[in-house]
Amino acid sequence: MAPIAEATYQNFVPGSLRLAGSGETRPGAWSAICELPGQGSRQPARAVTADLRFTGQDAFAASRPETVLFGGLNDPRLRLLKPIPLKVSREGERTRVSWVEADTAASGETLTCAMERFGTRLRSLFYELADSHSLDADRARLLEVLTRHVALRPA
Amino acid sequence: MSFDPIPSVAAMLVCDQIISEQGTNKKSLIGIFQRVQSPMFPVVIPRFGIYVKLLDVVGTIEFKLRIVKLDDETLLAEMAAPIKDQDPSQPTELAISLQNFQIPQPGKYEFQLYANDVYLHRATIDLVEWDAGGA
Repeated sequence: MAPIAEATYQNFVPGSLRLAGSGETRPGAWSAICELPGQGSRQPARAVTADLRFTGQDAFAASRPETVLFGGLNDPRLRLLKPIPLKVSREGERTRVSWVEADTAASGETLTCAMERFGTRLRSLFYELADSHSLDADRARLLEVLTRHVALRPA
Repeated sequence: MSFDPIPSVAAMLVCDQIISEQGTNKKSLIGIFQRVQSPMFPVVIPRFGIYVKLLDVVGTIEFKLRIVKLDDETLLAEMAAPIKDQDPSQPTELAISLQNFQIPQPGKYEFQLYANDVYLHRATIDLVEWDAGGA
């Protein structure tokens, strides 16, 4: 069978190769070198001094609050318009977080694990409802609650 | 305190050192890690850094970093850093350097980032007891 396409390639070996400079042309090489200006952050560096407050070694403070404000959506296509209030409870060895208004919950081994799962659930729920063409009354109300907190990020 | 919208974390990494280049203010992260081995505990980590890149930072926000021991979710330490008047069209970078940080026991530890008391993101490291005399 005849080949349907031909490819050309070049093997590169360790070492360095001098590219053609300005005024010096070779077939297949750049005819001019463009020198980029200095690249850097457009924001000036600002050092902020912050105190690190240690809790006592004998009396570590519990970091399982009864409520937590959630902002970790972690989706570049979405933006959280306002924090989501979550109720925190224990289910045996697991931690459960629930958003009462939207009747949505998730659980995990730790509070942050539960919140990460809640974020995953929230994202899939938002996309599912936003992409639906027909919603019953309950799901339409849920979408209305979600869109008060979550929005698509402008392109 | 309220703000609109909620900042979003694009990256959060723990590393040995964060170098900020004078002039350009570019950050270089050296030795990104998530596991520390030690033959004994408590152990002091002489130096490490936490790098966070954020979007949608508008106005004045107090960022809080909480260091939590995961097995019983106890709070080891907490630091707060107010960030003022950022350009919302540009990402914001937090480069936090910590020195001589004492870790009491082996296990998983988490760096949890909050903005105005709203949970944003976490990075986890694993402290492992290493038997130097073992096979």
